[in-house]
Amino acid sequence: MARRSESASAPPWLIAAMRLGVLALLLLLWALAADNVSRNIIPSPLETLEAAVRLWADGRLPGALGASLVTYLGGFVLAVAFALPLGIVMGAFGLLGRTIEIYVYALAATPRVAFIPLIILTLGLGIEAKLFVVFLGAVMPIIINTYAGVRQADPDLVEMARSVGASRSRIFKAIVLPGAVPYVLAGLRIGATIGLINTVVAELYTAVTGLGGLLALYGNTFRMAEYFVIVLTLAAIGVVVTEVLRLLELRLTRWSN
Amino acid sequence: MSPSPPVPDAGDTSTSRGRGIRFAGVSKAFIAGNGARTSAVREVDLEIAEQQFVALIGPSGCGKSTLLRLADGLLEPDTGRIAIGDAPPRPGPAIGMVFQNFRLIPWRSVRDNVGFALEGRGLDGTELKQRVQAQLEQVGLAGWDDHYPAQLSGGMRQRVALARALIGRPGVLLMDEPFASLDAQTRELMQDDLLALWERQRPTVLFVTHSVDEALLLADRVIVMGGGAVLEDLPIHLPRPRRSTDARRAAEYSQLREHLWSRIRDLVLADPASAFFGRHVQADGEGG
Repeated sequence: MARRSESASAPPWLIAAMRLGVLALLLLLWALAADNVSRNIIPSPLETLEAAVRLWADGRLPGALGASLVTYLGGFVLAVAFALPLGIVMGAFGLLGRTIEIYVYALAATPRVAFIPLIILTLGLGIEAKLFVVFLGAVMPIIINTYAGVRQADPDLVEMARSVGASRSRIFKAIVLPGAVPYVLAGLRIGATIGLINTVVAELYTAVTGLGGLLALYGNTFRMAEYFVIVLTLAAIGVVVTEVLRLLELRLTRWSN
Repeated sequence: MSPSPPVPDAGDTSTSRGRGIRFAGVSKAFIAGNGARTSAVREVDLEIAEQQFVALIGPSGCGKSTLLRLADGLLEPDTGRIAIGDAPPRPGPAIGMVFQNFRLIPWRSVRDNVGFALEGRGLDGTELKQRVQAQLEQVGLAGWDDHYPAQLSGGMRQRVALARALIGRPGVLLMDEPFASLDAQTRELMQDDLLALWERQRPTVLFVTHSVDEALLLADRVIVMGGGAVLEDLPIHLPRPRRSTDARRAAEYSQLREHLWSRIRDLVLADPASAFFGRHVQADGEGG
């Protein structure tokens, strides 16, 4: 919805130009900060770029990136596969939904990091534990949003569908589920964000691997240029994933132009 | 669900012969969240002849929309019987329903919105498409098949909704303030189009409106409702064919209009809870 007014108020080239301008400004501020704060704390953009090239060439960055992506995307896909059907079923069967929603909300309100010791005890320190930490972070917003989307089906459209004699299952397929799509997409976006956070958390608290592992390594040894490379890589993953989800949303809501 | 009517020709957009509607001792109450029971419709006896155009008018909350939903089969009466032809009403494309707020499915194209009324009834895709196209042509929207509701004006949206209501060739057309959210010019155009359509095909029409002028322009018979009951049943003998531009010139028109207006004003003043005309009348210094 916000996108529509954004594109209506300014031409795309202007937005792109403005964004590039802000990027240049940020780089400038970064360079200034690097010049004025001790080099050991804030590396210059150039030093960071050199570190990135180095880390990529010696294979450490690709390796860590691959490991993190497996954890992240694996846990996220598991979360979607679990949360979508559960949210839909909760929304479709009101009694079931009302019965378990309170537990879902309670679990969603608990800091999931609190479960990490328990997860390590039951699943160990390997990929299973990492996947589960990501899963646990991403699953709640997807369940809650899917559930809300299904429950908030437009009663006017449902009545219209009833008046043309549509069966319950047809109403569910043609009205309720498509109507929940924007909610589901919002849930996916929140879940993807929390999933990325939990990827790093998992890599810090279980067997230290991936980008989270490098983050700890370079942070603890004050290799700040390398450390910045890892932070920027994580930011890039976040941007790419949310952008993909945004494109998906644009595609699925073309009708609202 | 209900069997679809035989389909001789996909391009044929005629409605079935208008069927009579009968309400016999029909009452319907709703239980509010606080447990209070409100009567929406009380002891309504009404006989609507085949192919008649009937307007239901009355203040907000008088039960006219409930009566429409009872006639569609969306609601079951608590007591009494309703019949369309000789069978109790059952929701389906054989009874067309048009709502004030269009109720188009926003993520479906115009074609798929109109076709929605006949989906799952064993029509093959080509046939459905042909029928939709013919129906869109009839309501003046030929070529708009692939557009989405968001790309249409209010008047066009209501034409799509009308096409959806008509595509099942209904013998009964139920309209719940269908033109109330359109601008004045569009409303007049739609009224004329509806009149032309009705004159050609003569479905039985039950038309809920707040507007005395609209009721007088369109209907053979105006039924005034208040407090869930039928208060007056007024035949309208204005000559047909009528159109919005000339109907008001008839001498009888202004008398009927005056009569209906005073009737509705009294109803509103008698019911302080009604918010529809109340404030307006009081501002005129006639408030009770």
